[in-house]
Amino acid sequence: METAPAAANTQQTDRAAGELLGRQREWLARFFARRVSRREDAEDLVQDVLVRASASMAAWRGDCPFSQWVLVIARRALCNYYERDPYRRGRLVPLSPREEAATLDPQREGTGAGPSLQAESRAVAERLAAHMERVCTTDERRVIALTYQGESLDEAAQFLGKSPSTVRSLYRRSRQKLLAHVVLHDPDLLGGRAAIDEAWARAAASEEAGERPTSQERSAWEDPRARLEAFRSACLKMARYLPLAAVVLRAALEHGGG
Amino acid sequence: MDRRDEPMAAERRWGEALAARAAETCLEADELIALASSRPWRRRAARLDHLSACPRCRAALRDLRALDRARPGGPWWRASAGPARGLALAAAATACAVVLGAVIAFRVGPSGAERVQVAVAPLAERAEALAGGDRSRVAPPAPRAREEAYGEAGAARPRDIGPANAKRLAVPSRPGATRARIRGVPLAPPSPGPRSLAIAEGLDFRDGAVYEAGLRVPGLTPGRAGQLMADLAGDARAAEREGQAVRLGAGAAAPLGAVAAPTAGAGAAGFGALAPAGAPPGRAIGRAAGGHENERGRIAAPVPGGPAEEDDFGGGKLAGAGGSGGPSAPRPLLVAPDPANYGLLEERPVFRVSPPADPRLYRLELLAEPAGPPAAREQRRQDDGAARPLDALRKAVPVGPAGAPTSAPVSVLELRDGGVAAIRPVAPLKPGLDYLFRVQPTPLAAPEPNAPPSGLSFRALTVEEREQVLWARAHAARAPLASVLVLYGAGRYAEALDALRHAQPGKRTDAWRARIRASLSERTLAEPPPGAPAQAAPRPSR
Repeated sequence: METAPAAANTQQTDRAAGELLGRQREWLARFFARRVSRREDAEDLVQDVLVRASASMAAWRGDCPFSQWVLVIARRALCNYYERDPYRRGRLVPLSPREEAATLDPQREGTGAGPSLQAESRAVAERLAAHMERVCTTDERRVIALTYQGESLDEAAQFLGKSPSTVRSLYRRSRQKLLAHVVLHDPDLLGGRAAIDEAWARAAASEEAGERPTSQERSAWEDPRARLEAFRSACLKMARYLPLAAVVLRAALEHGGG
Repeated sequence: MDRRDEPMAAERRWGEALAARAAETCLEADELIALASSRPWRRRAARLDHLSACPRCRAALRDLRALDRARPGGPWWRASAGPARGLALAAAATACAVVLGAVIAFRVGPSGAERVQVAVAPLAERAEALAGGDRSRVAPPAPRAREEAYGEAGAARPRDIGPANAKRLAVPSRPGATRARIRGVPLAPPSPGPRSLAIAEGLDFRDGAVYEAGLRVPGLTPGRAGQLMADLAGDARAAEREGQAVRLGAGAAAPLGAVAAPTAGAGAAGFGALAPAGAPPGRAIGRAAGGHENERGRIAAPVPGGPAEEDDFGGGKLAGAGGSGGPSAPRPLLVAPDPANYGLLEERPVFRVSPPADPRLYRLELLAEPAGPPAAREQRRQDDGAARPLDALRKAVPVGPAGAPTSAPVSVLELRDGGVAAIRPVAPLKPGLDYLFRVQPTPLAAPEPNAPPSGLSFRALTVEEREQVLWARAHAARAPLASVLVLYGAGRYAEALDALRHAQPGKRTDAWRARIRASLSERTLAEPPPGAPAQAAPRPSR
């Protein structure tokens, strides 16, 4: 009795997989046609990629679009084709280690975090995105997102098509605005008011003159509305002494409690 | 990045959260491929927002770009099997077709069979300014000849450009055009073949100078005149772009083939020599009038060794050119204007004769010659058996008469006692008319009824012809053949022979030289045969 439904499920799964793979054929054909010299080779590559994707479909975790996952396989197949091509052999420009690693690990960007942490990150991102939407311009939001994820200012400038100096000024201004806004309106994103006060105290006691708040920043810290610019600068100095553990823990507690 | 600009721990945490949030709406593969191909982005702002927040899509995009950068080079036909290569092939094929078409068009010309050379060169100044004969004002600006469409690759610039024997051709009207003249000039005089020279002349220019635009057209037919004029208009417009205002206007259409070439015999017979039809060249025919040999039957070219009949002046020479005239000549010799030239540039030329050695009394006469019948003129112009419409060549220009002059003398002077004498027309000569200058001993004998006219014919050139002559003088070095053609057509034989020195040696030059010499000799009396007695008439007493 259970064989028939199982076979039916298997058939439905195969049919769904076939439809899913079939939808990739068109863009794969365009992708290879623009990158190989012979049409027959392009068709072979399409077929090869589809066979590989079908065989390893179970490895797709679903954390990225299926086509993007297939694209990684296609990119790898194309690299192999280039290496096999006798005309192109010896003319290949080797990929950088980073590019090589990216080619070999299609799902390298997966964080592997548990569901709770993912949910916590999603909540933090939603609140942060709301604050950014309120205080930052479009370009400032993009610069903030890029630099917070580790991109250098030069890379961000190249990606956005802007000059590095422009991106730098955008980053500095938006960073201060976002921090000050979060300190004033959503201190929990920084570990809570207590963590902020402790970090301020540590900054005020810093031995480095450049990291110690000035008198204007101290007064602005007391009355942020009156001296907003100085308050933003003071927030930047305070944030350097925020404990990471407090930030993460506070966010986790907020998420768990909420 | 400055240390102060480095993200702090809290900010990195926020960055991770933003990345996790953005990963839920990652871009599809075809979107990434489109972004990597630098094609125009659809929903650019939304995609850029996502790419800014999603490290995975950024990495995928970066990998795609790296893959394309790492793709080795090679011939373009191996680069792609897709539409790009098809487009490249189509573009290359189109470019080849265009180049081939241009080459064929440049080689063949618009009618598909001929080559056309186009040039723009300066002409003389306005005809009105040239009427006075001031040669210094005739000097044209520096030549601006250039080769235009349909020009032969590597061919020399057209040199045979000159206004002569004008004949109008078709000129397409163009809004704003003022005037233009298209002239056809034959190029190969000995063998009137299909080669012709069409000259367009515009007389309205910004700098006051006159320029011409010429086309050398092998095998020009009437049907091609319009196309040629279109080419010429294009050339003129190109000249306008270069700062010269060449304007074309409407004109009458006529084929170049209708233009009479100064073919063999035309110079002598057609331009006023007084040889009877059918007389072989080189024979000086003397005529006795009333038993007194005082009339010259003709002025013919001597042929070496050919017989020369006695003339009435005792075998002497009337003309000074090429002759041995001088103070010892038994009869008056024409000193000025140059008897070698049939055309007269001056309006009131002074005819000077040398003092005669014989004691006779001579009478100098300048008579206006009436125009002969058109049929006769036409017959005298032909040389190849085919009648040519001379009216198309020289309208309202009477050529030499077929019979004796009947008009009253313009100026008469009786000369005696050996003094140098000169006569000057009492009124300016009428342009385009032929005049007969003769020297007769007195008393005058009664003319023989059927005797051909005697004397030496001259022709008062029109203002246009003077302009052409002056142009030819100024361009003799640059366009020798065209200058020769112009000078020869105007009856300036001596100048034509002098201009021929600039022409490159060749069959055509030799043919020109032979023809000019024949024309020159026809304007020179034959030397009396050795031993022939000079018949000196008794000097009349007065």
